[in-house]
Amino acid sequence: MAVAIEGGEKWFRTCDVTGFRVDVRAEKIAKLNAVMAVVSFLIAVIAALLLVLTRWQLFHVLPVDWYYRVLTLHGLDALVFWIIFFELAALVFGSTAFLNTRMSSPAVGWLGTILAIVGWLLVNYTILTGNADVLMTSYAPLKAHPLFYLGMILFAVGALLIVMVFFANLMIWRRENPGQSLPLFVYGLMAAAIIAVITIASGAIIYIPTFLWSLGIISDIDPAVYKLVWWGLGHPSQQINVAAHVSVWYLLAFLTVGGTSINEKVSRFAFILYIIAINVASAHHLLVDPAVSPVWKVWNTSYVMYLAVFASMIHAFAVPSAIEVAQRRRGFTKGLFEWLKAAPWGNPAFSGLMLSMIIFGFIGGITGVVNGMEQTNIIVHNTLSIPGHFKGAVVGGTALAFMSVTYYLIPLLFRKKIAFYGVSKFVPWLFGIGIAILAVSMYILGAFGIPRRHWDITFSGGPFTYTFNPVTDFFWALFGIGGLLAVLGALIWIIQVVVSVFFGQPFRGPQDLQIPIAEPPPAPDKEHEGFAAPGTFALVLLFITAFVIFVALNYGWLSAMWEVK
Amino acid sequence: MSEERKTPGLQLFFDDFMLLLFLGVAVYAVSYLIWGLIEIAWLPPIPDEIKQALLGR
Repeated sequence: MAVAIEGGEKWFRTCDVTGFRVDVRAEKIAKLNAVMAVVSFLIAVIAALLLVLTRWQLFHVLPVDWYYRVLTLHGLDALVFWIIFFELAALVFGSTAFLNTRMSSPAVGWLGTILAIVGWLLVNYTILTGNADVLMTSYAPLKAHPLFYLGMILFAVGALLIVMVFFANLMIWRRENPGQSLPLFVYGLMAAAIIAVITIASGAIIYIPTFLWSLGIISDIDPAVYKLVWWGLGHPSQQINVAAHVSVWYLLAFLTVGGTSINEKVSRFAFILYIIAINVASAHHLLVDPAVSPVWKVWNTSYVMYLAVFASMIHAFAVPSAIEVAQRRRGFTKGLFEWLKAAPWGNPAFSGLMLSMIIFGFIGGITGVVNGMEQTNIIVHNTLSIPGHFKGAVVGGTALAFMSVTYYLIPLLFRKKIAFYGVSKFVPWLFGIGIAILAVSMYILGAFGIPRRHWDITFSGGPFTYTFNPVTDFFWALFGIGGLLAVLGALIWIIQVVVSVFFGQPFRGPQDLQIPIAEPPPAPDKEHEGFAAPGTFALVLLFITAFVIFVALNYGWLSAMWEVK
Repeated sequence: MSEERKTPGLQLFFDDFMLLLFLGVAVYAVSYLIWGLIEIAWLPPIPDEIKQALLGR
């Protein structure tokens, strides 16, 4: 149904590649958020380099106070600002351009963006000036400067305003398109936006009283309450990422090979499972806290959380099967894996998509389930395994997916050609392999008892000492090599993006498109019989085997930790 | 009008993002937040002698 658009056509341009009608007011807001994401990522990557070279005792470059300062900086810029700014850009662009609809309120969108940027400035300023050495979690009674909490509140309010604009955009689209369902990519963004509401509300509930406490208006903050509510922000903020990067996977499958989910209903159902069940998984951060009961812990981790794990496994089948079916329709039907061999591996967005799925599933996903179980969590709680897990989930999964899709955003959103396009095909491999090595080595180091968030594991000058198993030296070397490879990959990508966006050649039209957009595959000649995606099914069996082996190993290690008589 | 009536119930549920927002918030609020806060609120206070011993007084 065609509806007259308020303001006529003056706010729109038509994309000469996709045919989308793009609201230029939304486009500007999306661009600014995307730029802020990359600036945050640059800070996070520089901080990561310093942290790798400090925890690797061979170098140990930072003094103790700067270690915790840079760790705080890295945590917030990597896990909060880079990711959420990118997601805000995706929410604004996805809910307008992808739906061919207008931005409901550019003024609120700008207000939200400015508030988020002011918050970002305050947080980074207070950390770098040594007024907020409280790490990302800022657990009470650790106290930062009031401007730190104010910055977090402003960032959260700004993000919430943009999420509200996203829902208002959907309402406009719904009015213009009654009875239609959202495209799957935007549906996933909708799931991410709902999770964002829950996340930001939790942030407001805890940061506002903590801000008042830092000003001396409130006398104290209960640490148990702080930790419970803060993790309603801390972990779900990473679940926004999961919903957003899974949406990006579906988008990339479509852009790179023309793949669409073989059963959209099931894919949508999996997003609903995320909405309902994924946030309670925050409980696994409190598994060793005595304040909450075992019933609360087990219900929220070992029951409800598995619905979200089930959802991830649905997506883990749906995205590769979409690729396989598209490839098979193109005639790559030989054996189980011809479709995979013949895939466009030279396209950095495709290789990035595949690596993102593999790292997220095999490293981030499997370790996440083990970390989330009350029984096996105790093996790795507060060890280096925990950041090892989220290097696999958030960096290998989310960051790599976002980096990959950016190769499309540079020409389509920023209307620039990709600078140094020749190196693009190496970037996902460099970054992905580096992160995989880093994540696995961190996980293994944690299994040897190496603590997380620790400046000096030799305990030099301490009243007592402990010598870790000498085999850890090997894994520290792997940790360093993986970290340096990942930092190198990230820096090349950042240079490409900055040069493209600020100094790049203008993108004049489809003739300048360096990265291919796949044509839809031909329609099937006949109704398919049997498995539509047998190769993916085989890969899923491989994944489940790895999953079962890892869980069994953990229970074995658990049984070795305590003698049961 | 008649087209709207034909929309399957499951699709209506899947497409109703305000209902999904409500469900997401409600499950999290009840299962994690409120239940957790109630458990913390019901914790008995630390006996004074243990508290003093912990504080080294």
